[in-house]
Amino acid sequence: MPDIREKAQHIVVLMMENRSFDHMLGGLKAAIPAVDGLTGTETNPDTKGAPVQVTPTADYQSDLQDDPGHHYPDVDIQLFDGTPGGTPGMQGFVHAYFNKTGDVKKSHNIMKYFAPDQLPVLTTLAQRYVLFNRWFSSIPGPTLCNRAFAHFGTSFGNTGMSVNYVGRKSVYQRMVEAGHTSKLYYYNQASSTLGLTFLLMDQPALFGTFAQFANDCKSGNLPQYSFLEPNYKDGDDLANDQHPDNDVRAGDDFIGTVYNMLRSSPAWPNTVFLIVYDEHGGIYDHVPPPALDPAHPDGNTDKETGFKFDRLGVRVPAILVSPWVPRGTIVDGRVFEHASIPATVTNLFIDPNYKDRTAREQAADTFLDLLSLDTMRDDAFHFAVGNSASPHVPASSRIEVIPVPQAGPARPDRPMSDLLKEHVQHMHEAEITLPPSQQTGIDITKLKTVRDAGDYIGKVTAILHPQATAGGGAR
Amino acid sequence: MIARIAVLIACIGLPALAVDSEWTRLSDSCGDFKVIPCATTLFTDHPFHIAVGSLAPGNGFAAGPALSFTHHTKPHHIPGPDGDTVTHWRLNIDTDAVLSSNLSWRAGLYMKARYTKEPPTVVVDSPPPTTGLDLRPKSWLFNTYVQAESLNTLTYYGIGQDTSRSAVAFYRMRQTIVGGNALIPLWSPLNLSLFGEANGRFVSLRPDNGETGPSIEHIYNSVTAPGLGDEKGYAQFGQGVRLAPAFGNHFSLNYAVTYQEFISGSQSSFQRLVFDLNHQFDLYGRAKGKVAPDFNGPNSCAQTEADKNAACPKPALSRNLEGSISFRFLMNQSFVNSGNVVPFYFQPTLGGANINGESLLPSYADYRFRGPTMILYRASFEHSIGKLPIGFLFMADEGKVALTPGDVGFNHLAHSFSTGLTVHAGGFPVLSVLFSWGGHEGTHTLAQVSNSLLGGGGRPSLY
Repeated sequence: MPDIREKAQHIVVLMMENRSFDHMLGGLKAAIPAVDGLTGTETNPDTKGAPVQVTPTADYQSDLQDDPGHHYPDVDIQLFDGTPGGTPGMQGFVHAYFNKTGDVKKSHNIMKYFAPDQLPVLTTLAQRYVLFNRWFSSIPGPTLCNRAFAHFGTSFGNTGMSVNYVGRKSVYQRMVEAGHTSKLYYYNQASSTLGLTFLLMDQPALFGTFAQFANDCKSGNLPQYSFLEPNYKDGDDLANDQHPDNDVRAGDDFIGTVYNMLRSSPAWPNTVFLIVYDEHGGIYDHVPPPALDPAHPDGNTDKETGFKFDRLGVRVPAILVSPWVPRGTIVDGRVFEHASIPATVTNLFIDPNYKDRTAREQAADTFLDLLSLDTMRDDAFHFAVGNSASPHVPASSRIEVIPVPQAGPARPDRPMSDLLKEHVQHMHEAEITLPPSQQTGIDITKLKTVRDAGDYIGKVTAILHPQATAGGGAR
Repeated sequence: MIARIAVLIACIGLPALAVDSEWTRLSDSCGDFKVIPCATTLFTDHPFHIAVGSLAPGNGFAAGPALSFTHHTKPHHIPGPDGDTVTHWRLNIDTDAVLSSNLSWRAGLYMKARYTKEPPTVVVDSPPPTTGLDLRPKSWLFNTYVQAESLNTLTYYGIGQDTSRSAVAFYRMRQTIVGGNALIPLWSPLNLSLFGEANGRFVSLRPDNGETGPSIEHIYNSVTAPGLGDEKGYAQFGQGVRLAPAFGNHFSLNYAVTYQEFISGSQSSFQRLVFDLNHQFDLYGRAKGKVAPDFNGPNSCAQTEADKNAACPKPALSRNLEGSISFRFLMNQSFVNSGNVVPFYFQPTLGGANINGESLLPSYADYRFRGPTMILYRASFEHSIGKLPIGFLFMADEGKVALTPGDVGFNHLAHSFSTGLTVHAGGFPVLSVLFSWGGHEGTHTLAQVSNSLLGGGGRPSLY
């Protein structure tokens, strides 16, 4: 069986904007019960006290012309609806949107979600590759602090739009210093890069445009780690980041374009493609963000909001694409966040014991163990413009019912991979920082199989993230 | 007078319509004598803010209320065998009315509309073509406007390169323009688009009442100032192509070739061919575009939806060094049938800045050279000072005007050298101060505030 370093020679992350899991993928639950989506009965009260039910009536634009609030105070209302403390009730989304619109009818739009047929690319990839049931934004806040977690494994104590990124190396800098290749591809000069513009002139080699990404896909010369930014603004091309109220369909087509480019690239057999959203954008999701262990984060407290970084942000869509993942995998019972991205990249390419990173990143779960197939999948498909002559499947008949959603490795008795050994070691290092009374007492040198590793990681995670694991199981 | 009163009423009245949230932001920003946050809110907040900028040279800085907002239509779904084809519009609407110290004014309503048609996406169970299939939709861009501008100080030196500076005369002009244009994308790799425009122009000239110098009708007549005393309405049409490819992060082109027809009475119609070829080398690579996106209106922020809450761009400390070397070739050739003339007020000018506020041969006086045909060669170098949002600019211009297309060339070019400072906000130059020398007519200092302070575009050309 190929080593993980053969399967994952290239990691490509595409981070979209401001849509929640339920809004984009919650409709899949009707066909695939293992998806932790919507039953259709979820509600939030409006300002008149009437329950507003979720409906699959979201449209590609115009529903959310008033940008839903997604800064910390807005998200606080969405989660706690004015009664902070305890587990978030997720009952304040309509109230928070009313605060933006001042219009009761418009405030109901925040409960709309997309029928799966409306997003043919995203839902097809979710069904044919890996869908994460529990990927959360890193902070209950806006774009830049969440994206900072994907770049640095921290937001430097900010819960807002500050770009004061001083004191930690980005994952790109780490890669280059370790002799690896890494690039952040922003869409074009008009769109630019969010939050990292300041690095462009000092380290231009770290950056490219989407046109260059297309060329690199074509030649197969992708960097080992690539981060891709969509088009954030209407310019020569339509904005395709899916931020409200940008055209969601244009974003779905953009994801399909990136997939097509990767799928046709010579690098495809060794490429891992993660599609993830930076934050929920103020849009309804039914899963309460888990709290983190207070001792675990980095000791940061945001000066403006008082947030102690002890809770994750709202759940977002995340899909992992690789020819080495079992078709129709649904990852449940494990919690991921944006710090999982630099954690995975650093562990794989640099050193799982790399020290110069935050405790938050060190504790973040990684996802390459999901590339569990022994042989590469040979199924092939791509996305095309409809009404063409080539044989294809109309979106309306495309929803697949996956009989056995898989949660985790397919063969638990096989020996641990190198990556999993590193993960165990990594968890052990986190465990021994705990008081002896809280440690598991497990001798990790005796762990041999994937099941052993899974059990151990689960126990340590339960100690480190008690609420996360309590709230992270299947519903 | 009625128009002036209307502008004044607009200046006072429009802000009163501002929504509660804007008042809240204003009071938050301007309380406790916070100068910079207060100024930022006043001049950049949306949907209402105060528009400021230079009017045509000689008419000073102007300020007044501006309103800018967007509207996105609900998508129209057209069912088909493979799913819905979806069409929608995205609208960007700006309006402003500004008044300067010499009572010149401009009022306008500008709407940009982006139309997109998206066919359904399907799943094909076979490997994609080796090129990968690009699914990104293309949009058509439409730009409509109604603008009236009244300028109280404009200068005229006669036609051609050999006019005398002492022959200066003054006039006033009001021009109303109603029309629009369209940009149709053809081929993405080169950013190749077709351009078309149609508008109506209504010009009225008025004598300068001796306040600043001799009025135009005292020195010139309809022969030496074609069109004087015989202002007509014009229907103007234009067709062209635009090519704006970027080659990596260091080199980009922006080519525009436009053919225009100005149609009026029997002796006033003419045609014009414009080549505007820009070449830019960026020394350090570039993340931020220096040209406003086509979809931005004159009062729209050049911001993204993603950082909408960060408000509009403002001068800020940067950790970037920026620098560029640019070359521009601009040629403007007019053609007339036998016996026809090009009205002087539609002829391009060189010297100082032209009526659109564009600096061309800046060491000379504003509007110094005027002719139906014009050519300009420019090389410029701009570099940030440290990592401040302030740039140093050096510029060398060579150019001339001529009566016929055959008279332009490389001989007898007037030249101008300029150096100065620019202040950028959101990546765009919003303020520039230039000291210029060269030629035989002394020096000239120009201070200008961009008339699209927030990085947008969309005002029609006045000539």
